[in-house]
Formats: sequence, structure tokens, C-alpha cells
Amino acid sequence: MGIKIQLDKLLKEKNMKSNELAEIIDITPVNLSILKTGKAKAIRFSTLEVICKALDCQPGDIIIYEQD
Amino acid sequence: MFKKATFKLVFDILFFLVVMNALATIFIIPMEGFDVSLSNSRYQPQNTFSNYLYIGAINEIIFSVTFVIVVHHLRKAAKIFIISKEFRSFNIVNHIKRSGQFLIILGLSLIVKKMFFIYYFETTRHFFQANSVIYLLVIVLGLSFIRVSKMLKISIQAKQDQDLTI
Repeated sequence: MGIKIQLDKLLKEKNMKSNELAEIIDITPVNLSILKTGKAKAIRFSTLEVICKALDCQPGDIIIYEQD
Repeated sequence: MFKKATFKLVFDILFFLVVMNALATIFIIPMEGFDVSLSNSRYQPQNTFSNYLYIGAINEIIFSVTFVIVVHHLRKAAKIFIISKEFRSFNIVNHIKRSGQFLIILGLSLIVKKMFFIYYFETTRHFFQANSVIYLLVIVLGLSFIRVSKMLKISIQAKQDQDLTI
């Protein structure tokens, strides 16, 4: 799939750990890990919104498209 | 209401009886030289022994073995569904699909068996016609099982996709 999640990169930039983000956006660390590793099939707008709010970024910073 | 243990017991008894029946068929038919007319004392054979009797004997073995496989898969499906309460497993889909496929073979085998009986034994055609609907019902049941398994597979996939939506 050409859609990539760049959460790792963003977390590094913001100097934040996965567990901290999971706590802020109120999702389980397991679900955050699924999202980070690209195993998620879809992402809700509400989840995207809270992630953008927590990391102070745009949806395009989290989700990118790469050609195969 | 049927308790879970009773439900399991019914499947276990059914499986045991079917296995015993299959073992009896597999061992007795070769012992009688594949002459199935000997094992049916109720009917008088219309024809003398011929190679066609092998078809009846082989069909009898196919029927017994298929019956065992059908009951085995149904038993496994029931065990997963009732005892383990595992609705999200693809195993249940595979077991229902397999039982459906073998039910079709079972239905066809029953039709061949009955046609064979008409030809070789004094069984009226009316008797065959009355029962042939039931054999077709077995085939329809098998096809329905295959469709149900496909529906179940789609629903499990949808559930998994839903679970992976963050």
C-alpha cells in the first residue's frame, strides 16, 4: 500500500514517547502500535484530529503517499 | 432448552455411530467379495453377479467415508461455535465449507445408491421418487452450507477491518 504513517518521525521531532501520546489521545498503546506499524486498515477523523492536536501538526504530516 | 453439554454429546454419539458404520462397511464389503447383494437379505437380486456390483460397493464405501467426514467437520464447527465461543475464527468457516462440500458428495452418492438398488434389487420406482427429494435436499443443504461459510467469512473479515480501524 502506498499510504505511510509517519508517527515515529513526528514523535522523534516532538521528543515524545509512544506511551505518552497514547495517554494524551486516549487510545491504547496496542492500537497506537498498530497505527505506527502500518497494520491499521483505516483511521477515524476523530483519531486524526486528536493526534494533530497533541503533536501540533497537519494530517499531511502524519499520513503520506508513496508510489510503489 | 438444549444445554451445551447435551449438544456436544449428540454430536459425539452421531460421530461414534457414523464411524462404526463406516468401519463395518469398509471391512465387510471386501470380505463379501464386493457383492453388496449378500449384505441386503431383504431384497432379492434381479440380476446375477456382475462387475456393476463393484460400482455399488465402491459407492457404499464412498458414502460411508463421506458421511464420517461430514459429521467430523460439523462436530468441529459445533465445538468451536458452541464450546469455545470463538466466532471470529476462520476455522469455523473452513469446517462449515468442508462439511457443505462433502454433503454434496453424500447427496450424489445417495442418489447413485438408490438408482443402483432400483436396478439390482426389487425396489419400486415409486420408493425411489419419494426419497429422491430428500437426497436433493442433502445437496441443497451442502450448497447452502458453502454459501453460509462465504457469508461468515465476509463478516469475519469485516469485523477484523473494523477492529483495525483506529
